Amino acid sequence: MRAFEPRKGAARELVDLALRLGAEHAEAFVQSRSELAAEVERDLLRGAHAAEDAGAAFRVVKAGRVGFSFTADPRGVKRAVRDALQSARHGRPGGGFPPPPRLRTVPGLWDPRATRASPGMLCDALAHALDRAHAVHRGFRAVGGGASVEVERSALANSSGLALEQRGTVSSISLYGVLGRGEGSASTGHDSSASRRLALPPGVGETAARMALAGQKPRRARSGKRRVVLAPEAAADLVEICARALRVEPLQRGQSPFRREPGERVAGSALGLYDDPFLAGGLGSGAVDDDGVPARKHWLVRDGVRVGALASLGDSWRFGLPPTGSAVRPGGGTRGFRGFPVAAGRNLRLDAPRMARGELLDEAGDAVLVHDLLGAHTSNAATGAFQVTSTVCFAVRRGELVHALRPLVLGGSLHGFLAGIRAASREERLLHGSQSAACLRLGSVLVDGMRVAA
Amino acid sequence: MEAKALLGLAVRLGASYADLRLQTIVDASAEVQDSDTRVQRTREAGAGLRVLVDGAWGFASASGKPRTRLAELAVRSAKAAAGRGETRRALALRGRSFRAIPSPRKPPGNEDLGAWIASLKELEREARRTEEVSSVTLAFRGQETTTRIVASDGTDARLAQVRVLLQSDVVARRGSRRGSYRGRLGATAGAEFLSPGKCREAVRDARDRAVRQLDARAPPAGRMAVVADPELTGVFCHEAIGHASEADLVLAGESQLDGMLGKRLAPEAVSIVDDPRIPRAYGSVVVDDEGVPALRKPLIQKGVLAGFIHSRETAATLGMSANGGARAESYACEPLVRMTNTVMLPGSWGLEEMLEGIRRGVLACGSRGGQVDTAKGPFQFTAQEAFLIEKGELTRPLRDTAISGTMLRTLGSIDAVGREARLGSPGLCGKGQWVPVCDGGPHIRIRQAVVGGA
Repeated sequence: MRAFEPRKGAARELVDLALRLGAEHAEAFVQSRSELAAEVERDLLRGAHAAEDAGAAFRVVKAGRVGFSFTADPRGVKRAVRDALQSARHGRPGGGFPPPPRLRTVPGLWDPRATRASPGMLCDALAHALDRAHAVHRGFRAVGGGASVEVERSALANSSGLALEQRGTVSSISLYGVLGRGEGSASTGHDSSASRRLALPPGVGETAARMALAGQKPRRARSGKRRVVLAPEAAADLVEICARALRVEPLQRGQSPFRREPGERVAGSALGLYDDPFLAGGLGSGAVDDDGVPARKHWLVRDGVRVGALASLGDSWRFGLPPTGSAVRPGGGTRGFRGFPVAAGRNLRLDAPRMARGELLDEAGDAVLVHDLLGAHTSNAATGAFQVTSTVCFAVRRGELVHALRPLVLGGSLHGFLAGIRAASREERLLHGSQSAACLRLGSVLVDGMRVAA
Repeated sequence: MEAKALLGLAVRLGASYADLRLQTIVDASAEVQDSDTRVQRTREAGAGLRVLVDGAWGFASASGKPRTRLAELAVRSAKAAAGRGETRRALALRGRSFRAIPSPRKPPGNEDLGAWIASLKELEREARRTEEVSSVTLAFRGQETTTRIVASDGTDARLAQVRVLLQSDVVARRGSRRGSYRGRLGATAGAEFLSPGKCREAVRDARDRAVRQLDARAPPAGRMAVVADPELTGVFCHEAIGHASEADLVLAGESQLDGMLGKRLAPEAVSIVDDPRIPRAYGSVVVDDEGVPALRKPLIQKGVLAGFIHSRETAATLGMSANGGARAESYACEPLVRMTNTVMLPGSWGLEEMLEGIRRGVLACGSRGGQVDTAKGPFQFTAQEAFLIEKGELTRPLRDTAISGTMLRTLGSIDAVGREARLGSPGLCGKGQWVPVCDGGPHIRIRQAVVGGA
């Protein structure tokens, strides 16, 4: 093989090769990815990157067991297939791969302009974002952030006759900066935006600088059980932990704080949590998942009751439950050929009473507004206990931000978090998960009764 | 294309400096998850080219063999950013030749993965000797990398690294109570490091600690004295001091240690180093990813800020000596300033003496991870296990205990440093890229930190 072509024909050829070498069932995923990025340092542009990555992953079933391997070397294809077959000797139980699906189109996943993006375009976008930040406050120092555009093409084929091609684009921009110096005097601000379209809004600079400015002269928060408004990025961290605990694998293995069987009441009847792979322009959207299983809208929590769980094809082989079209190959930006498909939210969304952000703050009354969470990855997956620190947080009184708060710790359990959700704002954002391959679309979330230690 | 020819092309295209990293990576892993097994062996190769054009960095990477296009992409990227940032950049230390090729007795890439599975199954039986253990995941992982670094200034370094790791995740259950523990044992060494005796001891330890969690209660919340065990001391050194000592963050204005060199930050008993030369420690490296010999770096010496961790660029910018602190996750990533093994040196206190002085506090042991905001100073880490201290005695186990504070205030409030130091668990540190690290130290007593329980 001379190069990895993300075409159906090329993927089919690799499936045939795996079958010839001894696989009973086989699957090949061929991918090529290119990424351009530019980054900020000390209020200036540091430089720009270009990455080109291509490879193929093989999943084979032999004697009822699954093996996996990948290669980024076109001449290493046979060796990778043999590695996969060898690993099947000690692999988990597996069966056949899914047949060709009836495809439904998901709009807004490809922007041809992204294929023509240049490093100069990214540098321009960042320069504008820096200008917007400095227009808010000349003392704001951008210390991190960047802009990137990714173009991904892939082909998936299997021995059940499935062969399909997919493509996607993602652009993102972020800025993070500091105002003031020294412990207790420095405040930080950040903002980011991700889109399937080529969209690099310079407004992230303004938002980051405004946040840092508002963060000056913080006071200590009142400890105790408090109402908390989680900004979308902070809410995403906790929703992602919930979704990880709501995968079939930890549930079946007793490693989740939620009960193994569905039917457990986990929240008030107004709350739902679902995965929406058909979200137009969603970061994790797609007509099929990375196992080749047709995607579907899948409720995890509905009317406050746990009704579903995320399952990949591997989970289905192992635990005898149907796959939910939730498999993602982790790695790279949107997905990567190096990753074994695992269950993760494609576009996790909350279904809660909706209101505008201003109304949400009014509803919150006397509360704490939290923009970031440190340490979400240290939560206890088995018990659902979490303690996270927020360094960008504000006191809210009668719906108004009254002053910045010093860093505080939020503690609780996943059950308590879900049960405490009262409402969510209509202004939603597309977000990449920070701890897994999940993607999310969330607004700000009002939560009652979170434990605050300051 | 031959390495030196590619560098020559980059220079002809306009680069004032260029370096190329050619890398091969072999990964092997075996996992037993509640008796289900999985193994995987993968190999890949690729190249990353970094160039400097008019003060702007450009970087391009691609899997497979390096091609002419790599130089074109890198230079084009740098040119796009040129003129919008620094106009000149200096690099400390001219190029040199280096060769560091270890020869482990059992390279993990050649290991019989079937034998690994057999050993893991034996260890699983050990973990399940207690009936309260409900779920066990055990994994061996090994990685071999070979890297050649060639630069236009004459650098030509060839290095190889071999690492192995055993990870044990044990969940125990009694009625509705759950306890969990993650243990890690690893080294920069071949598979011979993971001897059956050592592995058995590590798995027993994880099992016993998980079971002990079943009797643990929620911790008190608020400000109190904290005694950190050697592992958590290491995490504090890493999160709170190590990251803030990374010179790229200092230069960016993203570190609380900016402008503090030579100032007293802690009592005289506190000395912290980043030491890549600790034999076989998980974060050890002989040469960094810029081809610079990795040196022991005193960060805090007798309480005084003594130095930073440097890349060639940060050393030149700050007028200091390069100390080999630039690391990259793989050929696809640019080298960044990173830690290796970050440890606090031992003091003179015994553990019992430390506890004696505490009326009410917490002994926190083991780490489930941590995070720091280097710009403002807050950090958080979560203990895997903790005990309540009342009138100098350990009275009961606590679960899900997180400790947070601000970096400088916490450093200043260390009032006792233990006399017995050891390395903690191996881990991966994230800064946009993941690199293997380790940390450790003795027990320390912090007069006051925020304990935030779930």
